[in-house]
Amino acid sequence: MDDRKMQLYKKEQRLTIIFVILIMLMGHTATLFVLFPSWQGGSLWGFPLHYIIPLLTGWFGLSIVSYIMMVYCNRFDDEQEELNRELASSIKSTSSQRVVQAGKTVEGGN
Amino acid sequence: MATWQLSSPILGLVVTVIMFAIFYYIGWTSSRKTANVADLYAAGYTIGPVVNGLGMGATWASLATFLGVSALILQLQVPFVYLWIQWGISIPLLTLLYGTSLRRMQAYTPATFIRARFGKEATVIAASWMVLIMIMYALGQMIGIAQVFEMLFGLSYNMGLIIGGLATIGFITLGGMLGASYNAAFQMVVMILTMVVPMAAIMKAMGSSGWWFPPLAYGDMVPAMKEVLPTFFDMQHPFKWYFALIPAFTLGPIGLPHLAMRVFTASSLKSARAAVVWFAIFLGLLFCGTYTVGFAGNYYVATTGTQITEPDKIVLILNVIYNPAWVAALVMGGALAAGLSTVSGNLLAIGALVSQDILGVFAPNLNEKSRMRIGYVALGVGGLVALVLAFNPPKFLVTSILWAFGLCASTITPTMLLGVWWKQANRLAGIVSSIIAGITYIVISPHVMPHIVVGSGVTASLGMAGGMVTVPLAFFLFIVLSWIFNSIPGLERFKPTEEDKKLVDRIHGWGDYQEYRYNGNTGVALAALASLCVFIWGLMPW
Repeated sequence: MDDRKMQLYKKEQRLTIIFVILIMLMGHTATLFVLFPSWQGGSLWGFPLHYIIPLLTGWFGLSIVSYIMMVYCNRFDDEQEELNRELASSIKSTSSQRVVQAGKTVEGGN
Repeated sequence: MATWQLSSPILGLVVTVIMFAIFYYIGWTSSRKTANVADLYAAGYTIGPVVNGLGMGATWASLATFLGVSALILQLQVPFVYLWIQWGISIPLLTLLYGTSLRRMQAYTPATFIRARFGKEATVIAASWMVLIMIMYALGQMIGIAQVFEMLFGLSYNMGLIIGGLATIGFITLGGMLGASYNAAFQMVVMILTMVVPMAAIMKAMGSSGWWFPPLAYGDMVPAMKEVLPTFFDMQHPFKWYFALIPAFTLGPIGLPHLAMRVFTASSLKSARAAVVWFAIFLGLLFCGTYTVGFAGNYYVATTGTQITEPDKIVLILNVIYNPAWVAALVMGGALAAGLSTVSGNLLAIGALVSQDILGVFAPNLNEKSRMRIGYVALGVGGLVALVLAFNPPKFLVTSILWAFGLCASTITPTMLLGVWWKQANRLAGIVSSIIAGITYIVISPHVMPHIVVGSGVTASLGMAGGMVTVPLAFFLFIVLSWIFNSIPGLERFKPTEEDKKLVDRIHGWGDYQEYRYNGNTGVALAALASLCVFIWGLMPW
């Protein structure tokens, strides 16, 4: 159980870092064209690449990343809820065992 | 100027009356369902993904989007488009980094979390900053609303401000968050239609064969544009300018309470994430429409030699020139919708911050009815303050809004991010870093003390140069001071308590508590180091 908790915690960190990077990339594609000026040549649909690509990533790219983020984060939530349920039931069974044991002790004591 | 007003004020009147009638109807219907504080500020946590996605888009896409973007593209050309594109990532980032966590604790505003995590003093400081930020934001909307009324009816700016401003405050006070959510969804649809559809006619009149899809199909006009305005597509600025977008403008909106509150209204976490996808789709469409307006505005000015003295009105002017009067009137109605949807978010945030967060500290035993009444009063007073400030507007309506983003990034965002992701974040460190960074931001911006400025020109007045200094300063101070204060025995009461730490685990969705979670120092040490480097870089001459 502890291993699963740690794995899931690491997964949350990993997902957060990956999606922060992807979202940032979708919003700041223009910066890449400043960093790498040689990318500025060329055109798409009549527009210079360094104009149209940031527009497309800021709209469709971000929509796609948001969709993937939704899928992965929802899946993570489900896994976390499953773990929480197992945790709750194990606590419940442990405490009921204690109650049974306590009852036996009381009976034995009588 | 006369030609840039509607030929018939009757048309303007008809559009305005219809718009406000719909807004008031939605507000009135919603007010009947507003029974408690959760309904007023979080729409009873009932809003579905499509309505919420539209609402997020409308709350975000203010009059700055409808009027201000095209105006500043007219002045700054394509670099301003890049500046605007990255606004779209704010709500996805906000949702990922703390929105869903705060939705789990059923917060009304981000300050609700700050109170639970950092205590009363930090709440009062943060909520006060947020109220100031919301007023600056609403100020920009009031300016735009006044300008629309000016063009619709040929009124003076001041008269337009009084009539438009009061009508706006009225409808928001009526409907609360339920009304604001459904109104915002409707307003986003109005905005998209009135921005994109009339542009098709304008692009056709300008000679574009791609007029059928204005947001992305005007590539055939690029050679003509390069001929009349060769600099339009130039990236113009060095890498530092583009990097400076991140501290002020990417991190700023993450802390904006009225955006976070949209995530909190979601009916579930999954619904909130689905809303983000809809938001990205709708906002992208609207944003790309505004870039087309900026392109067309530049092309119009370059080819006709017309001097636009009031650049904020360029989208309205293009419609008055190229489209029939009734279409132009509808576009102005769209601009009204843009202003109203955002100002409603701003004022509701002010109402919630004052009645729930600030009064929650000073008068914790106040009953819910009194709290709601005070919330309505705060909402109205906040609107009136923004209205009064708008009598003396800055040259561009975007200026006050963008400046507020930098202030938000310096004062609120570090508290939110470190509070949610780092258990060692210290209460006093949060207060000290927020006050120092906030005051420094105000001082080094050109609006308050013009002789003490970091950067120059638009870069300084929009808060980019200031944000590049004070945002990393806030993160650095918060982290380093947390380490120091946590180790000083006399400052025990500011150390994170067991309850604070448990709260962090709980809002991340964990059913148990583990000390190792969100408790490491490596990540924050790297963040502090990076912040220090950016701070020094920001101080270097621009």
